[in-house]
Amino acid sequence: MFGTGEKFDLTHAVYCREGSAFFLIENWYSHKLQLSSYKPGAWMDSNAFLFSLLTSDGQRELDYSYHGDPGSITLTTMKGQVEIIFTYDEYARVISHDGLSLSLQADKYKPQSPLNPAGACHGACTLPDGTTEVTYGTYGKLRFRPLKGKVELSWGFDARGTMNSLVIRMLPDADGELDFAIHEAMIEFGELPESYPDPAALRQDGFDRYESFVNRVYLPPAKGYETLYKYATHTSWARRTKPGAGGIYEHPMMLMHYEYLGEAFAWQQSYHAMSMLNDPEEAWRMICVLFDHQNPVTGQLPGNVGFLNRNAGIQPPIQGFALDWLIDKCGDSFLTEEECERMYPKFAKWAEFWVTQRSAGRGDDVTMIDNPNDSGWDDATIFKDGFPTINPDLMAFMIDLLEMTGRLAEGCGKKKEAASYKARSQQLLQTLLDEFWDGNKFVTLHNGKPVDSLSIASYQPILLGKRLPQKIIDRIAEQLTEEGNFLTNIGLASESLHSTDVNYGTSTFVHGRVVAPVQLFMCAGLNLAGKKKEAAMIARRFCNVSQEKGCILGFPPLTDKYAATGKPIYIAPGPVASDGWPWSGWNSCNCLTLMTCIIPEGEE
Amino acid sequence: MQLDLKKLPFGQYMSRHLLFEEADPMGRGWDKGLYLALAAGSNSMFGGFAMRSAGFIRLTPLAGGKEAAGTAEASPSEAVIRCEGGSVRLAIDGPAILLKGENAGLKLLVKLGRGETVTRTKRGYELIMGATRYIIALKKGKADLQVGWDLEGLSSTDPIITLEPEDGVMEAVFWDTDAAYELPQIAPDVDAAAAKAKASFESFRAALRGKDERAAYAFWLGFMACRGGKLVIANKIGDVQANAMEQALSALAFKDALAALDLIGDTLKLMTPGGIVPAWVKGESLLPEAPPPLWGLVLCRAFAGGGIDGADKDKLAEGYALLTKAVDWWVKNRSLPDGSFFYAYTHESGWEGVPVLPFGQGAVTPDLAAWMALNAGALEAMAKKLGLEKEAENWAALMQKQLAVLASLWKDGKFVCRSALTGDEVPCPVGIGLLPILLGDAAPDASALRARAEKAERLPFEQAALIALECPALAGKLIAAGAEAPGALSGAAYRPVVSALLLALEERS
Repeated sequence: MFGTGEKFDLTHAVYCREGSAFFLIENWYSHKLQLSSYKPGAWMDSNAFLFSLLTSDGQRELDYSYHGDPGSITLTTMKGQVEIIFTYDEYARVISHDGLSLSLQADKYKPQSPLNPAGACHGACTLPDGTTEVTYGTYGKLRFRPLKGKVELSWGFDARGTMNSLVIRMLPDADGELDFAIHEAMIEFGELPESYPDPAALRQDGFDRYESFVNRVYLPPAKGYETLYKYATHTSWARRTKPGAGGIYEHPMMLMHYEYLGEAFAWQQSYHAMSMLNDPEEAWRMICVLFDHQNPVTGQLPGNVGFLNRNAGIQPPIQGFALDWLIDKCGDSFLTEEECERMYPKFAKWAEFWVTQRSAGRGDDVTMIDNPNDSGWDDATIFKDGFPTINPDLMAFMIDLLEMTGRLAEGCGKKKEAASYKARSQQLLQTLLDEFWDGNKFVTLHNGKPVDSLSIASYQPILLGKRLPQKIIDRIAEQLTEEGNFLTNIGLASESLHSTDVNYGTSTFVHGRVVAPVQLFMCAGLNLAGKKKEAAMIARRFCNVSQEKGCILGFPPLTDKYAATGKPIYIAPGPVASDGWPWSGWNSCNCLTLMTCIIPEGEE
Repeated sequence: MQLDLKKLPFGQYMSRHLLFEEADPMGRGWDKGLYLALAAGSNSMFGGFAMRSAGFIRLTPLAGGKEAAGTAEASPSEAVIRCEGGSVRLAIDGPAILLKGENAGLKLLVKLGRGETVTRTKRGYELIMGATRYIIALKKGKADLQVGWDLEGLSSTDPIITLEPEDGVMEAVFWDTDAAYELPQIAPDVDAAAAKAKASFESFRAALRGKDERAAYAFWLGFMACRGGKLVIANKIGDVQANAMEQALSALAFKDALAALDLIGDTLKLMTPGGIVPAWVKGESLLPEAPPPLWGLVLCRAFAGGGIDGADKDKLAEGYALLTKAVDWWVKNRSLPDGSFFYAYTHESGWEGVPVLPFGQGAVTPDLAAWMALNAGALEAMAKKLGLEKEAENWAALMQKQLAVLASLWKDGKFVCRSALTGDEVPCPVGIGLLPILLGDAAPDASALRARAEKAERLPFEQAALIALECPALAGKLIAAGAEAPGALSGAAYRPVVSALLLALEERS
């Protein structure tokens, strides 16, 4: 799937697999593969827990090409091959039959970085059991267990006693056989296994888990998107965490990335759920998974869940919308009485968190926010006047959340509560329509005044689908399908091309770029509102660019000059992705929804 | 006692609030002046730690609605900011700072990090900083907020909050809380809060071995709630983590055996499921590397002279179970078939910059043998007190074994270190070779060790202080040198552990 000279190599994507913390990237500068783990949550350009992979025949270092698939990745040299198998358990297997060694050299990502990666190493020690442990403090620990071969360390210290170089060499035995297990742990190692599975079985396990997951969970893609489907399903599957393993994941969650933001972001779990239409039980589990980490006092859900830590931030209450989508597409047979009984109190507590902790103080369920994270529209121009704001985008989520909380109450026989939540949802919808629709868009209020914004966030209430009056649906659809307004060749821009307050730079998010979640909201909303053809048309544009460039979160709609001002656009080409954005599970899940549901439904 | 706010902040035991004077001694270009700070790593949006000056609210007195020149002074229980014609008094009560201005107000220039915001709520002005909610609640007077928004920085820009008196009086409470907004009952006013703080400090002092008031204050100030326990922070300004080794060293300051047992117990409760006591904890982060096992040293000294007799049996049983598990980790992970223990990494000794063997090899060292002997000694005493005679015998045997290991490392009047991998021996670094002095007469040739200790120079402070516990001459030198760290950041000149060790040494000098 990923390899030297193939459609996608690892300068843009990451080699990883379900359940394993390890990942590999091809360094943009040196073109060597580099190994690290997502668990510390480090950002790659400042990650000191990074090792360049070097191959050698014992005489000299050998260049290599590589090819990776769900089973393993193989490094090919002029003298033979080294295979690395990431496993579902907390180790990787390294194998060669050709007298080759594989070395891990402490390294950094950017050559000009002042980072001293070896300096982050807190020591290495060959223990009485024959394994060699390397400890990297808060980055974690590695344990090298030779099954065939031996470990050799080389290191250097500067005059102040700080380590400034470290190489861990895995050397073959006298027969030229190399076989190692590299265990990783963030905190501590348990008992190491007495024996290890055959490499062929480990390799097959990767393929089996991938194919089983994909076949079970996802619908087939629309014609023409087979390649994107392969990469998107792999991108999602490979970001699926393993519960336990010394961390706080109680059930599988989906990471955003490995090399940056290597954590399960809150609302992305529901985006993934929306893509899993072949397995509504699994989709429902993904909507619920964040509630494993709900604050029992406040009802708040964390902003993201890392291997060891929950972030105290917050992300929007998308769960009601995701459930509404799922019911629309799959029915509600997965909502058994037991499930409703289990999840109703959690949904209710989450809904009440918003209407109490984020109350606009009007005596109703209108919310007011102080932070863009609450809406998900981080740098959108709806916030250009500052805070607090009352956001229609968030109100739309709340309308769905209240209604779906009522649906869960209904499902477990709580009729009075069900009626109450549904009535509150209706009332909030009426408020949204009465007070926030200006005839063209839904307006954000800052201190009671409309914010003058050309952000596409103003149309997010389209996700309410047919709950909206037809004239509003028509007006939104008209604007979203108008070429050169929001609609571009690659999908919908997050800020209108007519806007002068726009930035396509790589450090921006929804300040104009065409990003995957925007396509999802608008296309899913149009689809639910009955504008299925329009939704499919937009979806195709985004899927086309993703198929061509990879599962990257977003793309600039233009690369030369801004349409409204004529000013030049500065986007530095750079590492990790074509323009600085990495491959992401947040793209893959959205592309999967677009290509397995929205495009087929719109083109039936 | 008046505090020099440039060196030692006004704060409180178990509170994160700090008031200090930024003098920018390192010349980093930080604005000078009086600041409020929180003893907290500031969470960024994605859970990392933001980099910024410790002070996040710069205080300027307001007189007649205008900025005025002011001075600040503080005792352990109360601070006052004076300006022409008025003053603002401050006292801390746990998560709250109570303020009362008389003919004076305050201008608060807030410095927020990326992703941090300020807003108005019914509770007051709220600064939202990661998990922290810092509430500025006005009780009397008038208040105003000016703030902008950095769209791509995702942050509020330079909020300015003004608190001004009405009818000559301004009263406010600044809360340090979280998103649950569970605000406890606090003292009704500044006077009551100050009296409460004074009583807390005096009670704390009564449990200490030494009398030095500044050292006692710095030590008292250093405590903070941490994962359900009360731990000593490395430095509330600039280094807000609880180091496991420093807990043990700090506990040596208590003459009250129960206070020492509490601090050791709270340290051991941080253990991982496998039994590693993290080298440090900081918020939700921890360093899962083993610190030197100094707990037995502390407990043996606390229990000496009948200190164990008054111990609550349940508390003793809990401490015994915790220490047993901690020692078991060393038995399972750091012992050799001959019964000796080894450090896998130099940082496990506590003296990271002092390599004892070539990189990559574990080391059997005399200090570790001494610590494990003392752990066994403490466990033996606790087991006996708990009526666990058989276990007491086992611990006694472990102690004897470690004394034998220690003897095997004593070669030609000096200690050696031995490779856990090859058995090769190398001379022991001077300081590490002196630490077995803490075994007293059980150490090989104790008198020779004491004589050598008196001449020891250029040892790390903590190492020297440990040795000084059995070497009065060295203790005197350390006390004379004092606790102040030269060249420290503003408000960070007195590390709690240094103050605690000097308090421990007072009765030894």
